[in-house]
Amino acid sequence: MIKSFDTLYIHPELKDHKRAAKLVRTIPHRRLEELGRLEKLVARQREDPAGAVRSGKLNAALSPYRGRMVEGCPATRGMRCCRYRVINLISGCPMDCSYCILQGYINRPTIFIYPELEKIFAEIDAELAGDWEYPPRYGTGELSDSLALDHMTGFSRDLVEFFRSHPQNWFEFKTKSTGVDNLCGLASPPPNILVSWSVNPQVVIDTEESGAPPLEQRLSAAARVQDAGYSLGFHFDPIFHFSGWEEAYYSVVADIYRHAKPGNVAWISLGCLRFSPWMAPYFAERFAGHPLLAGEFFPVPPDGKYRYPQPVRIDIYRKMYEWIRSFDKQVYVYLCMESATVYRWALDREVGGDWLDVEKGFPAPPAVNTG
Amino acid sequence: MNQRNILSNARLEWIGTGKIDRDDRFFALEWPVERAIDPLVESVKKAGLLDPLWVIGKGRGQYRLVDGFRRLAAARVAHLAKVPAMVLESTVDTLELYKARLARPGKILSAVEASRVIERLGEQLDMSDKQLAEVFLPVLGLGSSIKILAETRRLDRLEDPVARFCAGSGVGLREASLWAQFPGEGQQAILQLVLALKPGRNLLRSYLQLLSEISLRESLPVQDILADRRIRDIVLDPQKSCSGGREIVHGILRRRRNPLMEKIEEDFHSVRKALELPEQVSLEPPPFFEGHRIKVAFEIGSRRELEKKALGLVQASRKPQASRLFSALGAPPEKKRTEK
Repeated sequence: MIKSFDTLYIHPELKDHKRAAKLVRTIPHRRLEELGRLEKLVARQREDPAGAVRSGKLNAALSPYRGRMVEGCPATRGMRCCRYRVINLISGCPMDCSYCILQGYINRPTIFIYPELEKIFAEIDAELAGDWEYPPRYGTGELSDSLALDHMTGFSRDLVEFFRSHPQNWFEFKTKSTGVDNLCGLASPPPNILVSWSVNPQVVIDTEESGAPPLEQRLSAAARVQDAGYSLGFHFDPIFHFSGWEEAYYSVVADIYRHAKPGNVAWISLGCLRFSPWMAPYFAERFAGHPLLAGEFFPVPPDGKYRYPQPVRIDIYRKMYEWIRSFDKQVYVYLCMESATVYRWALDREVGGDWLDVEKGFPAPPAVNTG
Repeated sequence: MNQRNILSNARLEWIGTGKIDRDDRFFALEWPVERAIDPLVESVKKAGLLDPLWVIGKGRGQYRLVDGFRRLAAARVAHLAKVPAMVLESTVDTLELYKARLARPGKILSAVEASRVIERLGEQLDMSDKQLAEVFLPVLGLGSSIKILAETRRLDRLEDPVARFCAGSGVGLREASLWAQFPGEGQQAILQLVLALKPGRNLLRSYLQLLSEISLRESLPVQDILADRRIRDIVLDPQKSCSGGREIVHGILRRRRNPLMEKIEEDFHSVRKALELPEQVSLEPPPFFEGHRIKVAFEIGSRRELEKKALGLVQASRKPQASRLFSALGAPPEKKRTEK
């Protein structure tokens, strides 16, 4: 867990903002500078993009709301998506996972934190006033880990309170961290709040998820939030194929259900490692010598992203689905960024005609207990 | 400052070859200096040195050689006592000298030579990496980024015979840098392969990448990978290495790099073979076996031919093996159809 930043940048527009001022007090840092000084980091990033990824994790910037902070997951055309709606409260992550798309995707030299939650909540209220065939699910785990900085920002408490007034919409904290103190400290959390963990066998965590807590600690944190009254989710994403993968991943499934009660796990996603061609140079420069990144990847249609061959992915999904079902007959299992063919052949499920075919499988949030 | 400016205040003199410091290689570009020197020696013996050397006075009647390392080496082999030389002003800027020399016709440095120049400049001129990258890399035709500088520096890990080969054959920076990542014994094993198969630039890069990835994934030294009997047979047989051997080796490495895909392809081909399709009917999986459509293609020249091929396809579709055709793409086993 990150303890302190080197430099905290703050935009002049935020100097009178109450939450920004509070964050300056609660986010430990060595230096406080105006956001304009970030220019030198931008120059360094242009010169050495891969090197700037690691150094960018040492600093943070408080930045004003710039409109449209809530968006649909940037799904690939031709692949089926769960239509998670992403709230970008933070972009950038203190962990340094080898496969992370953020290292090339976020064109920023540091972690950006947007303290003006009131404007973001207004944006969500506005979009929820529209027509939705299914109540959208929201989350903050796309451009950052939802809880990795929560011990500094305390955003989780604001989010829980906001979504308490939207009981028909799930809100999902997606994380690898163990920073659940704020959540566990809340009395009677609403039933539409779900905390999910990205999981992998420890052997993968050791080599590919630098700075992220071990599996056992993640699962212990999951057990704590379960006891505090939250629903759980798990994401096997990305799944790696390696010699011994079956034993390794089966054991993670078994470990999950050692900590979580089947009825409390609302969903589990599966997604094999994939990456855009432009990520290959980041792998080569930052993670040369990682055998798992030297797997069998091919630039497959429709998007040309590198993936394991389809028959291999199907075999993985089919087996993992069976293992999950052997522990939990109810949990909703879905695939991340896979084609209708893979859904059909791996899970025996038709999702061909409509994006909603994946979305409608999600359970509704449990009813609010008014008694 | 161009070549004309540099030479504008120079004077032409005849200098004893012994007065030029043979150990001072600060300005040497070519490496190794004796490379392909024999024709030059013959020419020098017949006609002397036609193109004067460039030198700078070092004091006490001694000179530092700036340009003409191969010519001077040839002159020494040809036992010339004196050689013509343009004696330059000692105040001329080092970078300008390098620029002027590189602009001379025929001065195209290999990546290995460029890396040696950079290493020397860094040591002797006490320049920062940023200065080296911004000032000297462009002069050497290598761009101006720190990343390229780092890649250039990796070439000092090349074993001497490999470095000599790379310099002599003009192996590019990317390929030489990939080669340099292997330990010494592996580099030498690759050299044997390359000397036998003489791959072009793209194929060499592909060999190096495949070997690196196989070695990483299988935790095997590259010399053990190249000890594969099929590869050894080709490397040791000059006839085989010329007649398609380099492609065969490429195929062996590619399949070893991608054993899962290899198995998928084998499964598909074995089913296709078992179907005994009519002649000249092709059955192609989707690219990378991604998707669920298999392409059947054939041409016909008559209605009778159409009938024959269609019947052949119907017969093939009824064979039990046909149910395995889509398994290669990942489909689950077909459920048995129940007769109505």
